[in-house]
Amino acid sequence: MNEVLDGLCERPGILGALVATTDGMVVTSRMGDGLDEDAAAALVSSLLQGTGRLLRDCGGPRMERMVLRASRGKIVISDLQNAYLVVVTDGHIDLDQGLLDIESAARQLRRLGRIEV
Amino acid sequence: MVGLLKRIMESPDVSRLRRRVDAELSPRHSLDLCRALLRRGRGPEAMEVARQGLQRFPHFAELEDLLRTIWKRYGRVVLQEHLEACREEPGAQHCGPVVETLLSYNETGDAAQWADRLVSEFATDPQASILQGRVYMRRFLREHVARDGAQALRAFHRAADLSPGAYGPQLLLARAYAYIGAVKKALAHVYKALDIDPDSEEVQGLYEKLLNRPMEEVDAKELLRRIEEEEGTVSASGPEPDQAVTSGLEDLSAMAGVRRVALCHAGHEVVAQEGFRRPSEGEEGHPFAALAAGFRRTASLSSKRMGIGAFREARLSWRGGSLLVFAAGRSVLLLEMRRSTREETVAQEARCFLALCTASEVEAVT
Repeated sequence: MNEVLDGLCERPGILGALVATTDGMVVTSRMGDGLDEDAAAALVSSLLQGTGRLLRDCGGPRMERMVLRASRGKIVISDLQNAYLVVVTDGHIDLDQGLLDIESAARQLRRLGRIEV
Repeated sequence: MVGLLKRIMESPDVSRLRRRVDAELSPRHSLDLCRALLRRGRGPEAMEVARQGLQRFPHFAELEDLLRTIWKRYGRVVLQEHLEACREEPGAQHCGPVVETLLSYNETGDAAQWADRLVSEFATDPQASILQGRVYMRRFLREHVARDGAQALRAFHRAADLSPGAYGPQLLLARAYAYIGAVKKALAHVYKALDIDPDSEEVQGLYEKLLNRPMEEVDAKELLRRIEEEEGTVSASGPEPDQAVTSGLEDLSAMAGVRRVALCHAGHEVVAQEGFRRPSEGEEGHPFAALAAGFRRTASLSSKRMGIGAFREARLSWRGGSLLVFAAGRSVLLLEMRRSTREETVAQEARCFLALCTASEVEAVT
């Protein structure tokens, strides 16, 4: 898991990545300077709860991916079945290429099997 | 004369686009004109069109992105003269235009770096602190990150301390406190400004506006935090969305691939489906719209606390569909989509629509 995150964080434009459970526990993390992994995991957990309510209103589908764009960066959250891969990128990353790298990392993490804390 | 000749020789499509931009019908025309000028190798002109377009439609994300791209290539040309003057005579007076130019082209990140450097090198120059305060205040107005607001206030206070007899810092402090709702503090600085210049119409106008507002009951730090969390919707309620907004929303909901659309704008909620506005569901209003507002609040707080600035848009995808969420100013737009190849086309229309809705939301504080 650490190798997958290390490989992902070497890509240009990727500021940090972590794997967290749905209730905000950090499984593993490679967050860059200035990014607090526990705070990030807690915020993402809160965001996913809000997302869950929205999705239930749309018929209850399971979210596969969320791409959140802000003025100075982006967050990509990929579903790993019972956990989430959270990747923080800078604002200028070419997201088409970036998403391929992130999706590839998510696929590798899913293949590792069930994540338990 | 040269400009006139250029216009005469201009190709018809650029002329047509210029006319549409002048008529201010849609932010898309500024975008199209920018792209047309870029295709013709007229980068600096395209940059100026983008800059003016963003002044009219400050929340149009596509134009903002295009301006950033053009700036990377042509910005140096615009800054050259100011950079040379700054190199010859470093100081807030000569380096100030560099910061002003960066601000006018929306490069608030670079402007902040320059302003911070000026303050560290010229700590006793009140102009440097004023510049820094204005940069961070501009960022706060756009993104509502509490840290930026606090930094702006600190910079203005420093300028006021360094130049106690100057009217400018007092006015800037009064406006900044007024914006965040710290009426008592704003009035204190209004009185100081009036002591220095009793005839100032600007300050007297601000004084009259403040007299009717309730006094704050919490400190500035708490007010900044509330603005950060509520996205500046301190006084959210405005008039009901007009016919143009409702009609635009209905058009969006009629686009191929769109299931339904919700808009939260100026304290009101509107939902449309298959080309028609949906009535509210009794006292609950529109649950779908309320969920959009809730998602926006959480996403905004998350992105700010994670240090990546203000939330702009999100895309949530699943097998069979997706949700697109767009935020601008005090408004949020949510579209529920079927799985469709037209998602990007719909997203472009949505951004344009939201930019039109929020065109009037410009605060003059700095």
